[in-house]
Formats: sequence, C-alpha cells, structure tokens
Amino acid sequence: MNPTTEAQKLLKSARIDNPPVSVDKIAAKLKAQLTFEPFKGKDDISGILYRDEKQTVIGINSTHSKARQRFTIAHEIGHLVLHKGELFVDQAVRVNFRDKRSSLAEDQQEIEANKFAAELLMPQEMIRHEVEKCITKKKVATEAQLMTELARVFDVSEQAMGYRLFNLGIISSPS
Amino acid sequence: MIFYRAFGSKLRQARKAAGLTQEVLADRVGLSRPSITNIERGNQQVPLHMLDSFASVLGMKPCELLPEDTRPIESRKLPKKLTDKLEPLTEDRREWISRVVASSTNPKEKPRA
Repeated sequence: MNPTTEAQKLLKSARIDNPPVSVDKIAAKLKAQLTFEPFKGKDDISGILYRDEKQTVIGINSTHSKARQRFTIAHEIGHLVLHKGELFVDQAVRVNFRDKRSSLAEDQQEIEANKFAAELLMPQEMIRHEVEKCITKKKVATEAQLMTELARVFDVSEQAMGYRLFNLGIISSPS
Repeated sequence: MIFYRAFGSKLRQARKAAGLTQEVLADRVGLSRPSITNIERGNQQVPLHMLDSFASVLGMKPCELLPEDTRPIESRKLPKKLTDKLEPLTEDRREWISRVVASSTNPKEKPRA
C-alpha cells in the first residue's frame, strides 16, 4: 500500500478538503479511540497504537505540544491503515541509527507512517493551494514567513511544515 | 508504599473536612501528633483496626477512608496479548501504555477527551 494514496483516500472519504485537517474526525471514522495521557517517566514516548478484536486505541503523550500530538495521531492512524500488528510504540525522538532490536522492516513501517502522516496533515493539493494563496495575496515575503504562515494554517509544527515544503520542492531548505 | 501515601492523603482530606487539627485527631484516636503527620504523609503504616477509630472520630464509614485502587495498573485486567507485548519494554513505558489501554477499556477512568 502506498502511504500517500491511502492518506488521500481517507481524506476524500471523510470529505476533508480544507486545513487544518481534523485528525479527531478521521480517528472517529476509523473507530479508533483517542486517549491522552501525560508521560512522566524517562525514555519518552510520543504515542501508541493498540488494537484487538474489541477495540482500537491510539494513546497520545499529552505533555507534548498540540501540533506534535496531532502529528502523533496522524502517524498512529498511518500504522492503523497500513500495517498489521497489535501494538506499535512510537518514541519521541526518531533516532537515525538503528538499535540492536529494530529490524529493517520496522524502520520501513516508521517511514511509511511518517509519509502517511505528512500527507494526512499537509496534503500536497491543499499545500499548493495555500502557497498560491499566500503568494498572490502577498502575505509572505520569505521562505521562513511562508513556513510560519502555513504551519499556522495547517496546525502543525514549523519544523514539520519546513520538511514538508522542502520535500515538495517548494522551499530550498527545511529550516 | 503508594497505598499508605494514598491513604494518608485521604485521611488528611477527611480530617480537614471535619475541621480537626492533627492534635485533636491524634488525641481522639490515642496517637501522638507526629504519628498523624507521618500517617498523612504515608511514612507510617497504620494498623488496619485503626481504620475504625479514624472513621468513628471523623464521622465516616471505614470504607470511605480507603483510597482508590492503588495497585499498579499492570496487575489489573489487561488483555493477555498486550501483557506479552509489553514485556520487552522499559518500566515507564509499560506503565504508561497499560494506563492508556486500561483507561480506554474502562471509560470511567478516562482522564479527558
């Protein structure tokens, strides 16, 4: 399954065509319960997906910023739609090196869930539309301003928006 | 122990609600004031029969003084499948995940939406 097309299909069936994308609405559509809990210990966690025959639960670390929580929800929805498995645990900091336990397949799933989350929260089509709007209305003068403005419109972190705009070839550097 | 800390804060709450000082409560149940301080902080393990004395003085039922379930969530009911999956994780993570799933299964414990 292609993460980007799956995210687009989901947006279409939930009839969402304007930012900010309501992840709550999408989770409800998939009958996934959102549970917000503060994680106080060490070894930070951003969220989990748990499912069995009776329920689907997305757990979100409520000590993170709102934008971050939205990304976590979108990421977990990605696992829900794309991957089989009962439990996915997602740590806060994505490490670039793999530890002994993680497998190549696991990394692949994380990459896919992130791709899915990016398209769900910042759909290409909506991004291009909003960029055009910003430019024709002369709302922004620099790449940094564009990033800030779109992060606000889409209710995501500036960092996430920076990478998204960079990956879509709209800006020349992610920050 | 978490149980005695939870009991202590319940006792403190009940004592204040009854408008009693630690001295007065100590006097009426036959303990010293420092004992009450320690019990309320959870530093002193109070004998079970004292529950009756405390309840009588505070005008409550003994069971009303007992704290909520303080057992670690892991020892409550969780799907077996999940318990197995949690094993390789760190304690903090196990605890958090258990709390999330337990509160989702039992909406009464749900903290907020």
